[in-house]
Order: sequence, then structure tokens, then C-alpha cells
Amino acid sequence: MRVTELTVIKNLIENINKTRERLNETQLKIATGKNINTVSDDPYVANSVMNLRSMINRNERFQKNINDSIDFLTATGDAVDNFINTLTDVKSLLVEIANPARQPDYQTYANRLNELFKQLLDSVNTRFRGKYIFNGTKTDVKPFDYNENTDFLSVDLSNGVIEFEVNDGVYEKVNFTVEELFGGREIFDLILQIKNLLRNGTRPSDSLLQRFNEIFEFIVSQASNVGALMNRFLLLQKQIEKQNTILREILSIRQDTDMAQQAINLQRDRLILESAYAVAGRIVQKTIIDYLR
Amino acid sequence: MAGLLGIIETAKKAINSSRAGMEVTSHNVSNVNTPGYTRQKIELTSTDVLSSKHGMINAGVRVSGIRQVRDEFIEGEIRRVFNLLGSYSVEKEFFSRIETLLNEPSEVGLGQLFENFFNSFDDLSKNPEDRATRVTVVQAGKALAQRFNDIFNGLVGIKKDIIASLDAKLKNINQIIEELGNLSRTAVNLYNSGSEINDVRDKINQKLKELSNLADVVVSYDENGGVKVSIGGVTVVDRNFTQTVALKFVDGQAKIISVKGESEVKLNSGEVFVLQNLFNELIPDVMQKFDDLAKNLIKKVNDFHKVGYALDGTTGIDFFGGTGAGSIQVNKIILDDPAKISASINGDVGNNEVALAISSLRNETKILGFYNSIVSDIGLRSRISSDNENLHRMILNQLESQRDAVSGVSIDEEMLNMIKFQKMFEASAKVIQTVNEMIDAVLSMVR
Repeated sequence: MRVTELTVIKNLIENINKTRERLNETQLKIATGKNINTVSDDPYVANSVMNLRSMINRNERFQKNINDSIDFLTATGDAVDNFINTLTDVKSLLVEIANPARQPDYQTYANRLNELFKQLLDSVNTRFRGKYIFNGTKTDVKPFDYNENTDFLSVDLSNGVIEFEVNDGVYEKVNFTVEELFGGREIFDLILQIKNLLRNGTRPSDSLLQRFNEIFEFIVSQASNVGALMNRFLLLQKQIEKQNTILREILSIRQDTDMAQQAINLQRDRLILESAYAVAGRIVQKTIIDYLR
Repeated sequence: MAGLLGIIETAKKAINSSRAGMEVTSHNVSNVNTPGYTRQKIELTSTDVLSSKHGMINAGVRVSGIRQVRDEFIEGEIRRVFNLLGSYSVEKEFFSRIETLLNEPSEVGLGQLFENFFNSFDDLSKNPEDRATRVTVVQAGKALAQRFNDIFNGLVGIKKDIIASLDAKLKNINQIIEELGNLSRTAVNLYNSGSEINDVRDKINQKLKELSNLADVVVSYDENGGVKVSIGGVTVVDRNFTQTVALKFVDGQAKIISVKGESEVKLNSGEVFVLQNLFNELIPDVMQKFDDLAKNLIKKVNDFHKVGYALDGTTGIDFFGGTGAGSIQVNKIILDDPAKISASINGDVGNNEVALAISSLRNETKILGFYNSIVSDIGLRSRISSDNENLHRMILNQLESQRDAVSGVSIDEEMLNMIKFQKMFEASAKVIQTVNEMIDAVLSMVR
């Protein structure tokens, strides 16, 4: 094969260009820290990178939702604790009244009971981030509104369920309603009734106290549900966190540049380029003219 | 004496031939860097033998021709590969432009905006009564719709660029056609007047190569050195006939028609073909996909949104307006008052079921899944055309090396030829000088 100067030069330029192109690619990878900078770099990997990102994004949402759920449940738990503490006070007060050995001043008891009743209302009307936590989906409506002057308790309750998405297609209920936790308005009506009896100087009947005790037991047992749900969220939180770590690791493997490898590539390509220049400088100079004297 | 003078005559022919040889060498050396130049070679033959009474006398050398050293097959291959290279490089250019327009995978692409949009509805599901969250939802929806509009407008812009590019390339084709017509006429004239047409053929070849980059060319030569060229089944150059081509739009499709025959030029490859194909099919196809994607999004989101209740209890409001990627936008009512976003299924402000449903659309294959498939498809096409471009560039390089091996000028070789002819010239001159001395000797005998 005849090889002319033009062929040599053309091939040389072509090869230098190729090496430069490779250098450019390597530099881009190092600068961005990513192997995939456009989809066409590797359509398959790019697609899986996009899917992974989408999955990670979703997982982060779940993490966020779970954290918000836990916050919400913590607020619920605190309110329930307060409620039960106050209710325990009510209970001991009623025990004192029930004791036939004592001749209590019913008026004082009525006043104390009234204060405790208002505390109970405060607990059940607890707001968290602007919403009434025990009122189902009517989060803008105060569930219990007590007018002391008219002695009227207006009640507007919702049993609506609020769910957050905590995993792919998994919706968890995060709220507890008055109905679920406290058995509806009965306990409040009962306390009001007892208070009014005391105010009139009458001792409440045993059956009323009996009923109070029943509801008290019910509320205490229901309260444990809040804790149980909380535990479930804590478990989910750990699980999602683990998933996230794994997904991030996979994404990193797919997408991130192996810096050491690229540094070596860069060095190699630079060496090739320099050698090409050196060789080019020598080959192109020489023709037969140099030897015709 | 007669014999001696005959020798001078022979030497003169040799001197002339060596001069001709030098001329060819100098022509070759001069054109060492001329694209498309084919090296020429002088052909020497000995003249017919004369018989005399002293026996057979060789009467010297003569130039029988100056021949081009070319390989028609390789040149045809170069045209074919150059044609494909043109196709792939244009395809690559435009697909990588679309790819840049989409800008994936990144934190600012449409995919991320989709995620942000669904995330905002997820946030809303946790705080349906919160106004600040609603503003985020509006912003996310607006950003998503605007990105859709941008992509659509970007594609429209690319279509406009294609038309501009097509115009320019057709002008280029027409110019080449005119030049080829002139060259073909020149070649025929020169041939008929008995001259060499080597250099004209080089120019024709070079023009054909340029033309083949733009369109698929069929070439044939006639015996007079003329060239017949047709593109896409329509003859554009033939002897004294040339006709140009023009762009015409029929039902929104870009068509190329010949000016004289008014017949359609149906191209199969080359830059112009790909531009035409991009304009007529590929870009509209991508636009259609984005339109479908936007339509799906509008429909699915609105279907859920419409049945929901806004904070003030109104219902039946669309979240998105518009009919496609170019016109999608957040409903003006919602833009004006984010409280109109309907998150609740029953009117309770704490109910989040509609927000949850819209947020769950992220798993809808006709939205994010479809978008990912569009992006992969474009990436893959960009990749394939880029690979093909590289491959054909390599093949072209190889072919040009092969052509160069046959037709290229080698300075080494030409220098050696130069010495060869120089020595031939010197030797012939020496012959004349010697014969001259001999004649002097003969004449001095007479004195």
C-alpha cells in the first residue's frame, strides 16, 4: 500500500482528535463527578438512574410523612396523657365523695370538678399545627365548646379518618377521634351531670359512679392504642431508612465516577497525546528532500 | 551525417519528454494538498522502430498520455459512506439538541418537576388546611406547566431551525447542480477538442462528493466525459440539461420538488433527507408524545381535583387548564386563590383524600413512566446516531486512506520522479553535446 504524506497527516489528526475527545470525556466525568451526564452516554444506565432517583424521592417522602406522623402522634399521646391524668384526679375526687364516712362540702367539690372538667376540655380540644387533633377531618372545628354561664356543652364531632402515605401504596391512619379514644361525649355529659348534682347538694348515685368507672377503664385501655401505633411508625421509620441507604448506594454505584479510575485514565490519555505530538513532530518533518543534497 | 542528425532528433524527443515529465511532477507536487486531486502519471512509449539499411534503429521516446491514477469503485464507496455520514451527523445533531432541551438526568429536568409537583400534593395531604402549603402546590404546578411549555416551544424552535437549515442546504445543492452542469459541459467540450479532461474530472468528483453528503446521488459518465446525475430519482444534470430543486410545503409536510419537471424528489438518505424526515416525522412525533403526556397529566389530575372540595366548599374546579404540552397551565382560579385547590373529598377541611389521590399519580405509568420512556427513547436514538456517525467517519477515513494509496500524491515518489526526469534531461543533453562534438569532428575532417 502506498502511504502518502496526506494519509499520515490525516490519520495523525484523526488520532489526536480521538484522544482529545476521550480526554474531554474524562475531564467532564471528573468535573461533574458523574459517569452519566446525558441519557445518550448510556441510555440503559441513565434510565435506571432516573428510576432510582424517583424511588429515592418517594422514599424520602415516606420518611418525611412518617416523621410528621410521629410528631402528630406525639402530640396526640401528650394530650391523651394529660386527659387521663386529669381524669384520674376526677376519679379520686369521686372516690372521696363516695366515702360515706366523710361529710363533704358538695359545693367545694362541685367547683373543683368544674375546674377539672375545663381541663379535660382543654385536653380534648388540643390543637397541633393549627388543627384540632381529635376531631377527625373537621380539623377546623372545636369539638367541645362549653359555655359556663348557660352551662351548655355544644359538641360537633367528626369520625373522619386522616391517612398519610407511609410506604408504596400503604396508607396509615394517623389520627384518633374522640369516639375512638374517649367513647364519644358520654364521659363529658356524665361529669357535667355529677357536677350539677353536687352543686344542688345531692350525692351522685352509685350507678352514675359505676358508669364513670367503666368509661375510665375504657379510656385507659384505648390510650395504649396510641402508643402501639407510634411503635409501628418507629419500626417503619427504621425500615424506610434502611431502604433509602441501600437505594442511595445503588444510585452511587450506577451514577458516580470512580475518581481514582478516571484520574488514571486522564494520566494515560495525556501520555498518549503527548507521545502522539512528539511522534508527529518527527514523522511529518522528514521527507526524501532531507536526503537529496 | 544523416544518422547523427537523427540522433539529435531522438535526443530532442527525450528532452521534450523529460520536460513533460517534470511538468506532471510539478503539477502533482503543487496539488499535494488539493482536496479531491488525483495524481497524474506520464506515460512514455518508445516510438515506432525505423528500419534503415544499417539495420533497425529505435527512434526515441514519446509521451503517449497523461493518465489519472484512480479507482472508481473506491470513489463510489466514498460517496456512499459520505452520504450516510451526512445522515447520521444531522440526526445526531438534532437528537442531542432535543436531549439538551430535556436536560435529563438532572435536578432541573421535567422529571424532577413532576416529583416536586407530586411532593407538593403529598405535603398538602398532611396539611390540607394550611395556606402556605397551598402556595407551594401552585408554584410546583406552575413550574411544571411552564417547563412543559418551554419544551414544546423548544421543539417548535428546532422545527424552525430545520426549515432554515433545509433552505440553506437546498441552496447548496442547487449551486452544486449548476457547477456540475458547467463542469460537465466543459469536460465534453475539452474532450471533443482532444484535450485532457483529468483536472475537470477531479473537480466533478469533488462536487459529487459534496452533493452525496446532502442527498443520495446516482452518477453515470458518458463516453464524452460528460456526467449524468440524479438525486432521489430525478435527473438534475445531464449533458446540457440542469434543473434545480425547491422546497414546497404540502399539508404541513416539507417536500422537495424539481423546478423544471415539477416532480417530487424522493430522497432516501443524506443530510437533506434527514432534515426532511426530522421535520415531517421525528420532531412531530416527539411533540405528539409530549402532548399526550400533558393530556394524560391534565386529565388524571383534573379527574381527581374536580370531585374534591376547596377550602371554601366550592367543587368542580379543574387544576390544570389547556389541551396539550404547549398550552398546559394552572387554572387561573387557582392561581388567583390557592384556597381553591381541592384536597378534600367531602368538604371537611381536614380531609386529604383528593390530595393523596393526586399525589399517588406519581405511580401512574402514563405520566412519569411514559416520560421516562420518552427520555430513554430520545437518548437511545441520539446514542445510536452518534455511534453510527463515529463508525461511518472511521470507515470514510479508511476509504480515503485507500483512495489516497491509489490516487494521492506522495512527495517522496514525486521527488524521485523529479530526479529521474532530471537525469533523463541531463543525459539527453549530454547526447546532443556529444553528437555535436561528433559532427564537429566530421566537419573538421573536411577542412
